[in-house]
Amino acid sequence: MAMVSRFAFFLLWISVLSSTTHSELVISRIDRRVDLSSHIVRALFSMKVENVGSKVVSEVLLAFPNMQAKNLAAIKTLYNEGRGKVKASSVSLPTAVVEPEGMPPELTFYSVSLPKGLEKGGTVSLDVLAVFAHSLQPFPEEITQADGQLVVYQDSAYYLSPYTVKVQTLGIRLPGGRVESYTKFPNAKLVDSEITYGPFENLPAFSYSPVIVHFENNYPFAVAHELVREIEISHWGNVQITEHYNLVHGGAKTKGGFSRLDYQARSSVRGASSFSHLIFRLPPRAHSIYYRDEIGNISTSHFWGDSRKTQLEIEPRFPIFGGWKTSFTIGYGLPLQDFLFKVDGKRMLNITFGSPMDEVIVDNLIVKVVLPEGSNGISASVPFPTKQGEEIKYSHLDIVGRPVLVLEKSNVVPEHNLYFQVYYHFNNLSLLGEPMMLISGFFLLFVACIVYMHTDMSISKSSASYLAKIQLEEVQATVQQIQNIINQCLAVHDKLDASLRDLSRTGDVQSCKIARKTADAQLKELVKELKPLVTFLHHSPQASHIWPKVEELVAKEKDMQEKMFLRHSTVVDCFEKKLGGREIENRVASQQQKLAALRQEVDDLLEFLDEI
Amino acid sequence: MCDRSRLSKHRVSQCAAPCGLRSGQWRPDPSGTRLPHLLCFLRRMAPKPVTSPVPVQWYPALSALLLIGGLFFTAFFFIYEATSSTRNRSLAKEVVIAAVASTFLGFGSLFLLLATGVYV
Repeated sequence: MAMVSRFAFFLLWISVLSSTTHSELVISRIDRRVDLSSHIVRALFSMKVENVGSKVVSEVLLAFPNMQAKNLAAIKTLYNEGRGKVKASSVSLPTAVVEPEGMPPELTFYSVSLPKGLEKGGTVSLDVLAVFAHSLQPFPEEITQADGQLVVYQDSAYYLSPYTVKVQTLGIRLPGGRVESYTKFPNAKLVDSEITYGPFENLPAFSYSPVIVHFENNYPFAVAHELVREIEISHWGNVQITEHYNLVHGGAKTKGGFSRLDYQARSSVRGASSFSHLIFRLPPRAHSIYYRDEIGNISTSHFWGDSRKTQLEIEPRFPIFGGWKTSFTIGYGLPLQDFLFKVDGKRMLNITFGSPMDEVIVDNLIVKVVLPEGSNGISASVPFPTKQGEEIKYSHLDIVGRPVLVLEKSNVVPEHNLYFQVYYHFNNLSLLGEPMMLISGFFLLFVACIVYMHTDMSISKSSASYLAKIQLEEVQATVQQIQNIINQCLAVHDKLDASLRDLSRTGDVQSCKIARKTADAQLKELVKELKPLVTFLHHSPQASHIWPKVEELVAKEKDMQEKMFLRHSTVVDCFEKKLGGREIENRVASQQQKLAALRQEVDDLLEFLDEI
Repeated sequence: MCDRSRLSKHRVSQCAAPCGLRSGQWRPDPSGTRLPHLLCFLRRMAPKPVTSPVPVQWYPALSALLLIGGLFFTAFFFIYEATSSTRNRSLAKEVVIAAVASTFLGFGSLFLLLATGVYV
């Protein structure tokens, strides 16, 4: 109330000045509509400004008393072009300007720049939307659980403007419910939860008439003291958003204790201003949503999604009464192609700035955009001023860390939930760095194995057991080599067999003979290679237990060779003599059987040697 | 206003037009993506959505396949180490098998991480 009287005094003083300044513009009509149904105050001014001076005017000033201006969270002007109902969507940007020409410091001025200057005698219509946070003062400041919440709103019935106003009205919309009191002067009418002041005509500049409305507002006063919103981009297909909330009830504080019995049993003592449900509107195709706090997961949440949005409704662990706090974390993932685009060689992230919670005032909002490792040339374009900074975050498979762009803003209301863009350069090859790290990790393991197998870590090199081990290894190596050679011999036998089959098919005797010659030569070589190995084995003491088997193997193989050649020559002979197939078979039958048996034995022996 | 036909077909519903005021409240359009007004007029530079180099639906199958291949080669490596004797071992063969096995295992574990939701 002291504020009000001081204001009235200064007004007297200012009315002297008013006539000399800003006489070029006159507001011919202004209709103000103030919406008090939620805890965020929204005021819409529809004004028609007329140029009655002689010069072209290109800006319009809007004045707010400092008391209101410090709560002003967002201001937006829409410019209606043309005379009809067609609304052009151009937006002019108001900026705060402090008038140097003797304007009182109790007022804050916003200047709206008109797209084209207003000539002499012209009118322009503007729609100004101003959003105020923390403008409703709870009065009484402390209530019990049974009381409803009463709040006070202060404004001026006359629009405070540096220009003369010809016609004006003020309409205040209340949420319904009890209206404790409201200023009846001048011309107030309360109809159906709406208070109308006016219409007032021909008021001088800077006229002010304080109006106070004291009414009941039980809308959930959700205020987030601090919200940290982390947006992490992974080029493998996901945008992960994690939001940490410190929520407080911004209305009248609760006194006198909380009775759970009254809260649940008697609906009249419920705590009308408390809230227990919070709604989040997330983008469509959000997945992997979690809701937890320091203690753990909170299971009281529901979500449902369709193609246009995903709606998440959460209940904190307890109902929030005035002055009570809670803190929690919400996280969700979004598909990458909805938000990341390639523009002009750069990549652009297009995502909303504010909180997805319905009707929440955020005192301090910090948005951190975490870009993948290897991004550079980072810049952001946000539709309103923010404080920007950069930091580094170390996350999965990081070497140098991921660059983080930090955007801070205070006094954020849902009108700030607009899309903003972050531009950066990223080379697709940097994406390969992550699998390369994993591959080199595994490769190092294998190299360690190889090194271990190749090094000789025995302590004494001349002990009997060590020497015995060495010799055993040599024997093993030799046996393996012998096996190798025998396998090669068997391969040659198979080839010979194949040539015989070819003969019976095509009848080409010449190629058969050639095949036999090559087989002969190869076998001779293999036998030569076999000789030193066999002699070595014969002489080494360690091989005494396998020597008989090896000897047997070699002997059987030799046997096979001879029988093979015999059969071959028989068949070729028969062919040359042009004997029938039946005859050939008869003659070769016995040899065939013996060969088969021998082959089986050789295979068995090889298997046995394998197992040693 | 912007011409829808010029925008990429993928998921853009409409341009960022500030909506008209209705009873003192305005909200951003909740459906799909809204691109900045300016970009609508840059016909040649219409933004193209960026997707992952490998389709996301393939991640689990791809990780299983690559890990199985990797384990197969690992088994091959260890069998070779165990059965060959000191003189017969060839370093080149060992290193090659190890390299192939580690490549498969590396990619397989990367896709395993991605399939389980750890978007690295």
